[in-house]
Amino acid sequence: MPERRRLPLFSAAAVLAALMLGGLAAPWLAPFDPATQLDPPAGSRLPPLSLRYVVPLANGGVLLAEDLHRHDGGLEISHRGETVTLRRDEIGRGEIRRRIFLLGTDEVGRDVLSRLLYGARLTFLIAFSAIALMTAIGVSVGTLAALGGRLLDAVLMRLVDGLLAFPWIFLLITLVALWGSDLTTLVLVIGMSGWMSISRLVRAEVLSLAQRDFVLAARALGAGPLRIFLRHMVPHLATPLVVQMALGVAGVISTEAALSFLGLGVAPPQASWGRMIAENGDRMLDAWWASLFPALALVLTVIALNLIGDGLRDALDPRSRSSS
Amino acid sequence: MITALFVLRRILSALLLLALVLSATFFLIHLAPGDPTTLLAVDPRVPPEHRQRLLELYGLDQPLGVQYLRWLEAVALHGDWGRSYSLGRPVTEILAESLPNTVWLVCGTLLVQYGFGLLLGIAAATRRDGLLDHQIRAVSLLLFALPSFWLALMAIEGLSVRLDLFPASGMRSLDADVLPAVVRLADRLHHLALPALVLGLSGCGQIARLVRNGLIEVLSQDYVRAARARGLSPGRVLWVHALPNALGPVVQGFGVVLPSLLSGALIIEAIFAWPGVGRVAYRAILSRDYPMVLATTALAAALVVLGSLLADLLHAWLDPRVRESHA
Repeated sequence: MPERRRLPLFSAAAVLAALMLGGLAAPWLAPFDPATQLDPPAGSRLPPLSLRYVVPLANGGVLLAEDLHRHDGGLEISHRGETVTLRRDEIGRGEIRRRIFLLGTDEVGRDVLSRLLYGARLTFLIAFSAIALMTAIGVSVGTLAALGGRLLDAVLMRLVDGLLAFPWIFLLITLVALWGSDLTTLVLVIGMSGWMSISRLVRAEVLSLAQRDFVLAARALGAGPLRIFLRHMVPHLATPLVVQMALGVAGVISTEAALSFLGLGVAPPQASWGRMIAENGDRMLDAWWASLFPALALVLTVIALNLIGDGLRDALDPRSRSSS
Repeated sequence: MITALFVLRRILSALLLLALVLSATFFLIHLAPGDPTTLLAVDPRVPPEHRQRLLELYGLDQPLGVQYLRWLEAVALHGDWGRSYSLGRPVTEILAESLPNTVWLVCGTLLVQYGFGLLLGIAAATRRDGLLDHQIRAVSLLLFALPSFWLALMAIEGLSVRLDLFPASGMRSLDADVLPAVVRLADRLHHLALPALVLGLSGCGQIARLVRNGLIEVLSQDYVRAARARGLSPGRVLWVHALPNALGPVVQGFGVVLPSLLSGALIIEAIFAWPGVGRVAYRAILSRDYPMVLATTALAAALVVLGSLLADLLHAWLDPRVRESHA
């Protein structure tokens, strides 16, 4: 691969790895609970890099103080520009610490970075589960069509053609709205609607592999169809499949974001990138951080996956290099 | 020659698929937990008999099989898609009102999408592997990756709320009815600008890529070299000789573009309060308006099938090789 092409591919992989690791380690990395509203309205719409003292209260809440002085009787804090005195019994247990809100807070005082990390966790969980389901169905249907005889092939491929041309968002929204939007339903619905291009790819690959000499040789040596498929075809299938899966994951992530945006993703207090954009959509310019960072995460993820897919295809198949 | 048989076969297989998908949808929505009166049950002022009466009115008290056969009979034999639960009017009437609005949006979007796509694709192909080519590819990828809803919200906040250049919602001003026809058209286009621009821009990268790849292939062919050798100007070679032959995949791509365009239209219509089929569908789904949901799904699917059929016919008309293969 020429040097020039390597840089975007590696940076894409790095960005993707960072987002995925961030999502995986969200419970340890996130500075705050993603669903807790920190002292609204004082904690609402804090710009990125804001510094606040987080003062735990006896009633379980917190106060975000700009400044703080200790007395023998308690605390004197400046809170929303006013000086407030807290008695010792009003202050809860736990340390008073000065914290940085790296990406700011949203409309109701939730930490954007924490929500972004938990959103990544959710996004990749859904994406990888859905792509696993899509691959399972796609590979089964594609193999069945390729090896199951002419009639089955015709029927299955007509079905795939038709389903590919279907405006799926209508059905997706209907099913998610009516069957509830827990994780399992989402994964099932998204997975069931996206396997067609994989099955088409697998069918074409298996058909062409079946004509190759090494498959004929294996058959001549007495290998059964299952053995031929698993030992001799699957290794060749793996590479184009991985390319298709990278693009598929990007598609699933976009779809999930759109569903969340419409209010049909996972249930509300949970953080999802699409929902974060929807929740802060009416202040795109003055409180830009609450909607820009999730949008950025989405865009970077989708771009990275596409670059990786294209890069892998180019690396594996020199013929596509000229035209991609 | 492309035959009537080909068209007939396509339509028949599309109808069969439509029937399958609609039947599946029918069962999936009726089997989902709850029913259209679930929301009423939350309200303590609504007596339970009232709910029961509604269920009987809609025929939802019958066994599911009976409901399905009734629905199938009404739709297949009488073309009767039923009445909307929430609006009380025949579904076909509502769709007849909202379909032209969606057609407006789709046409405006296609204009933007194909216009920008062609320009970007041609520019990229003629400067292949140059700086501009790379920049165009990067922009196309960015536009593809940007969620259209984010772009829509940005456009509303920036161009209509802050700068007050375009209306943020609806498809006409309040006083549109009393305006003269020309002004009314201008008003309509003014409302159309933002949604069409947002939706068109998100999809133009796809077109640009098709144009670029098609054009690069054509430009390397002998007849183009021959035209150049005869001393024709580069512009003439590009626009008259190369471009028409590069458009086959672009026309064919319409069949792929349309489903994603309709999906995008649903979201854009919801954001911009554009009174089209997508918004009707979205509302119907949220209020569990079964007849409306089934009819909008059918309409969207029918539009897609029709669009891809048209694209194939156009492609065959443009390209004799395709015509032969369908004979």
